[in-house]
Amino acid sequence: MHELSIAEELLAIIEKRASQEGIRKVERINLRIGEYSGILPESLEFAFEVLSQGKLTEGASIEIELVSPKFICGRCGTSVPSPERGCPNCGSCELSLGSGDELEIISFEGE
Amino acid sequence: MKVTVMADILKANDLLAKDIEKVLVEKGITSWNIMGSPGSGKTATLERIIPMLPDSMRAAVIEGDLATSNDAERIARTGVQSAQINTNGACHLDAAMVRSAMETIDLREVTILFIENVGNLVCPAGFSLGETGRIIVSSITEGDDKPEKYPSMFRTADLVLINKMDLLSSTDFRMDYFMKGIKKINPKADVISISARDGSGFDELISWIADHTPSSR
Repeated sequence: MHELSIAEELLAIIEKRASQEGIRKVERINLRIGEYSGILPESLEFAFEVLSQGKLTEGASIEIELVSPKFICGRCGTSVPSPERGCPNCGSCELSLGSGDELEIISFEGE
Repeated sequence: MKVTVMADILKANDLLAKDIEKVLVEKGITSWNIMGSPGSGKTATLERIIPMLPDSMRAAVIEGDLATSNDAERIARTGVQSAQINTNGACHLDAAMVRSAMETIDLREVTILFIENVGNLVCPAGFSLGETGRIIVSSITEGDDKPEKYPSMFRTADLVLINKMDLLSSTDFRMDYFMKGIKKINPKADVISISARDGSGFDELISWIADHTPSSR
């Protein structure tokens, strides 16, 4: 739901780095988004496209690497893909999210 | 040319949140980010909490809503300082909004700050406000599957309140199912059942707040 604020931050990060590197046109942006980040990739792309009009990122393609959630058992340390049924190793329900809430810009390409 | 960035997109917010945290810690203020659905009873719960706080705890409240200052006005009637943030459509509070609201409050007299977030079980979870901890106000009428359905929100809570307990018998809410959902997503969270309408559970809630508010000791 707050993809527009995320897109604004993303654009600000790219504009800053691009000016440092002397890049005037961004062609490709690589993001890493966790499935548990609460961000819909399509909405983020749409918001970014709208914000990019007339900017150096206009027309840039966005590549998104989706990260599946991984839960870590607090008792035995086993890595579990879903918290639904507890830990398959020791039966504990104390699972915490180890990865899957990422929202990162990895790199961008341009000239 | 490829530029490697490797940055958290919410870093700007997180940095600002760290600034807020620093200011609050320096002033000895404990702050609670109050989250929950629209209508779960966040403001009503605060209206009950504030008059019950021990004298050593002097509260202020920042209210976040899309529009209107209704909630800040309700809080002002309890006699504490309140500030209203209107997000004008944004579905969550961010650190920048909280920082400007803090400037309108005289923090010298404050030891505990409640920040009532926009009613929403999704977005506020992603935005740190520099808070000491998070309290979710959930309610019987929302149903017992909310922790499972909104794990990103419930995962970050220090305390989950189950409000509207006075309505329990009129609904199909299964307390054990709700508790199982919390246990699965956030086993460390404390859970307290309350009714902001009739005041039940608030003695336990006030003790919890006192125990978790170092600035009151």
